[in-house]
Amino acid sequence: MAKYGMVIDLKRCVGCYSCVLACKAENGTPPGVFWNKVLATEKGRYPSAHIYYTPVACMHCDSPPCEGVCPTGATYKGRDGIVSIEQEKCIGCRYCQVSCPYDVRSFNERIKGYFQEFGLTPYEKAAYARHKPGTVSKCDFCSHRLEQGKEPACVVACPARARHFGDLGDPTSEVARLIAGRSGYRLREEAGTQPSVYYLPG
Amino acid sequence: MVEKAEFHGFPKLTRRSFLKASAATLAVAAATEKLFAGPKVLEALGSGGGQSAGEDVWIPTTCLGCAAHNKCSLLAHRVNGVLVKIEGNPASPVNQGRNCAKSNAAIMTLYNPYRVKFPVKRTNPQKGPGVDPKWAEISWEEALATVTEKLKKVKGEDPRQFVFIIGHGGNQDVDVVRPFAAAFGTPNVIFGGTAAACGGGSSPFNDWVNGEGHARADMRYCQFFINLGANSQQGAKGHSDEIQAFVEARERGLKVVNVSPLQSPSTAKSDEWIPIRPGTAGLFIMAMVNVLLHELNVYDGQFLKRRSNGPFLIGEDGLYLRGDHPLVEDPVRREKLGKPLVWDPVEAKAKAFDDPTLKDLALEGTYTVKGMTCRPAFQVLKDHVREYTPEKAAEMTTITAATIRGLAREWAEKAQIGSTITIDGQTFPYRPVAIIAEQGAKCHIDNYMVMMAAKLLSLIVGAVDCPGSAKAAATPTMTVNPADGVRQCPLSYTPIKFPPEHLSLQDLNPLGGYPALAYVTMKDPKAYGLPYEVKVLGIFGGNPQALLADPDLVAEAFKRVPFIFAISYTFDEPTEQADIVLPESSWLERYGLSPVMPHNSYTEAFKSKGTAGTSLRQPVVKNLYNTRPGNELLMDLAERLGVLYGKGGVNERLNASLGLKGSLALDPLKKYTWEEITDIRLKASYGSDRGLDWLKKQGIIMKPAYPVKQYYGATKYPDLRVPIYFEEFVVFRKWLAAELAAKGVRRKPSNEFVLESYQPLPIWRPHPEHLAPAGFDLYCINYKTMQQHYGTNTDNAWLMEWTAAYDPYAMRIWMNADTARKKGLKDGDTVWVESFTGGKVQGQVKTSECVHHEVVAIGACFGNRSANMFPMARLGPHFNALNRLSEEYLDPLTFNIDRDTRIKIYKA
Repeated sequence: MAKYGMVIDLKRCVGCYSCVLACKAENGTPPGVFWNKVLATEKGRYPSAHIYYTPVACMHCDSPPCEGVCPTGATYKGRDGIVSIEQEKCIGCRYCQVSCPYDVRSFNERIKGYFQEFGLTPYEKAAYARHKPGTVSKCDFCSHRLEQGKEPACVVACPARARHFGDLGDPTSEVARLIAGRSGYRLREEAGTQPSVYYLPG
Repeated sequence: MVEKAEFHGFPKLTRRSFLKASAATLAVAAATEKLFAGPKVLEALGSGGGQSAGEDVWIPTTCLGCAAHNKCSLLAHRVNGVLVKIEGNPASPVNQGRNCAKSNAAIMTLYNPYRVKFPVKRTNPQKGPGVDPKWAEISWEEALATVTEKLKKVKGEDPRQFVFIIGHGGNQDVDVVRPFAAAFGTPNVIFGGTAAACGGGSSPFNDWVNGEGHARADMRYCQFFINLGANSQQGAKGHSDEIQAFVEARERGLKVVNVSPLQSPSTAKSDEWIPIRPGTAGLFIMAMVNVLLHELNVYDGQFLKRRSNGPFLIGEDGLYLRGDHPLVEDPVRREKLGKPLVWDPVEAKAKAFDDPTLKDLALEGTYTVKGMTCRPAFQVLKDHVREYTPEKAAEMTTITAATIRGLAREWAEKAQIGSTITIDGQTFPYRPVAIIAEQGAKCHIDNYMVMMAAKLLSLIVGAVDCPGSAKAAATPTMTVNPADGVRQCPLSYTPIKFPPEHLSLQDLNPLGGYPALAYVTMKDPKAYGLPYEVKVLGIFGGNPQALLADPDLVAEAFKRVPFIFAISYTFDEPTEQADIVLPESSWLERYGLSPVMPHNSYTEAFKSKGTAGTSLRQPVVKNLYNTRPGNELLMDLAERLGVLYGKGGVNERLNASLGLKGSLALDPLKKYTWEEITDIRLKASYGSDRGLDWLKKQGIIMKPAYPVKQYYGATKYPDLRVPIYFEEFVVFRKWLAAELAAKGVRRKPSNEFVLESYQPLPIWRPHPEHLAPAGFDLYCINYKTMQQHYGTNTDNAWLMEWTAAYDPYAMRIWMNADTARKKGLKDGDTVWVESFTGGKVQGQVKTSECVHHEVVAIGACFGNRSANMFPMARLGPHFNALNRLSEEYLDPLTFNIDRDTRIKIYKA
């Protein structure tokens, strides 16, 4: 079975936020929730300074601290490498949120929608049915798309083609070759979480 | 630079806390409590879904989320009647299946409950920014009949009393507007949104030199790209294919130097950032030309001799020296003229530029011909830039002389003068250096000068319209002036009219320009010599109150108009001042066509799919509300006014504007739906079996690719000369001087200043902001963001939520960290920004290392004021409130606004 992982090429990412909104639309997350974010950070001192962008979502760690702290087993690491949350089992204790070194988990409060006085839009009615209030949520590599043979929404949307998705377990896969060939690295390696999301230096 | 990202967590700024903080700065108190709620304009949401159970379809359509000239083709996913996702259409050679933040978020624009849902009329006679008109629902019949009655009255009196404002044409389906206005009989169509604030007034200059209104760096082959003032990966042109072209070019080894007051978000990908003081780009470029010509002695002699007017002899009067015979009619100069002369250094005599006996053409030297002292145009240019030394430029631009010299050296080396490249068996000159001046650099009082300087830097090394250079977006189209063999100036001199007829006073500007002044004159037309009042205002998409400058002045001008109708999707500021609002369908609910062409490069995708085509916009959901396409509304009004049918009617004019001829011409006596016209347009272009039915399924149609030879001016027009000396401006200046004197016209700031703007070679003069009074110690500039573009997406819930919570810059007062420290300001401080022209905006400081030490920057076009828009649209500082709409702050040639200003900043 494939062990899914993602490679994000920081030389290509221009910080256009397309992936942020593609994720939002695909997963229909409620107000306040962005599973996929792009961080803008500055390096250097004026005038030798520059901005760089880092897209960040669930790292699908091989040693996920969120899994360990979950009292109900709602969070689990699948054989395909994807860290998932079983909404029905989640009791909303939010231990996992605190334990995540990447701050990528969100808590679904009572879902009010974007236009409170008007109630939910037809899109929101359809989308929020997938989000249970009182539970924690996060990126699942668009598992529902993978089942249909499609890549995650952020990968498909990216105008810069900065995102690659594939089987980390197969050394001949594009993702494995990119990591090996271009010194792929992971965020906060020191945390020991063994993420499945790699970055190529910018 | 190999660099690793570090992760220190997300900004500790929740959406809630941001909104709470921002709310304090809002001018409109109504929004402070419930930012996701707002006044109940209209009741329930539309049905929009629920029907068609079990349905699951993907429908091709075309984006209208930004003003890019090449729209992205999309696939819309509809499940049970509800739009659930938008992705890029892989069939398009433009976006090739990708799509940006705006189309990803367009679902929220479609389902935005703050839309105009049915025809309404105002019940509150009070008008003003943020004053709720208290809309009441009315029938279509009442709405259209009321508008018709008002228009009929005006038409009978003086049709010029009707003024029609439209937005950015590329961003709407507004095909009927101009035919409607023409059939009605008003000259007053005001291109009223961003136009005068976009720097595009100088587009004819791209056309002049490159053969297309837009010029681009040829990303596929460029090696060295100087980006002046364009947020190129996130601004107007920052759509999917430009991002792809850019990142692939960088991967291939393109070096990008970003010369800009701020490291705008997209130019974060530059290899080098050179901060420049606003409004000094022209000076910087001319200093580079100075170094090339006076220190490095680098230029492409072969190109200049054979492909430019560089050898043409210029007399002391600034005009071409011409032969006596033959005389040829010059369509620009409007007289019969002899052929321009050049100097043959071998025979030491002057000859016609195309004399077959020419042994060589002199580019340098001073000669006496026909008793006149003259120099080749290239020598004139060389002498002209002598005073623009790097040292002199350094003082004003804040870029060191050493940096300017370094860049000039690199430019000279990377231009690879003399080299060639072979593509698909075709050999081209290869000059892989490009400089592009966009809004930030050119939207000043010296708009044309900046453009001219940028063109000259390219032209002197022969880097024009060949692989790797700045070139026409898509294939160039050029005509030769038969009198001089040079690319014919596309600017046409129209004698000025005084008293003026056009509300915008464009009649005082012989080269046309943008209608920025219409809102100044609208307040009191008589004071400007206009022989009529404005009695009816129509608005279709444009938002001059938000997107131009001087929002209070524009609002005040609107108040003076007795009747306003708006064709609108949302209750934006102009709509808020309307008396009747006709609800428009969203672009996801209507038909339209967008052209497709290789704007950025002749890529493999274009080569295989085709280089010219059309992408269809079609309804992807049923109309959610009681709305209609604007084009059809105008045809309805035309019918009621009696100007739809017959000679001079809208149908006949549509045939002309849409190019419909013969059996596919519209019947002047028939009423069409826009769907039917879309079908006819497609058949007229692609044949009877490629109409709407076919395209509804395919989404996009492409004609076979033209050969790469056609893509570059160097091979499409190998014998055509392009100007390095813009002699026409000397002629125009002479004409205008005579006209101003004869007609007693006084232009601002002075007739002398205006006339001095007509130059054959670029000059640099201080801008009003450079001469601001003491105390206004910083500059304030504006930039676009990818997600909001300019002003079109401030009512999109997702985009606004993301920007408010996670974009560190866009909604803040972005300022240099050291400068802030010296002023005792820190992140999050609430400040006033006050301009030297009297504008004031409030916002929160974001300190940064990535902005010039004299500059604060305010992004996009935030801070809407309307009471009935999606409340988050009110967030953020409104840059345009800092600028005045007045002739002395406009470029005298184009009437473009000078967009940066001088400010002081202090704690609120």
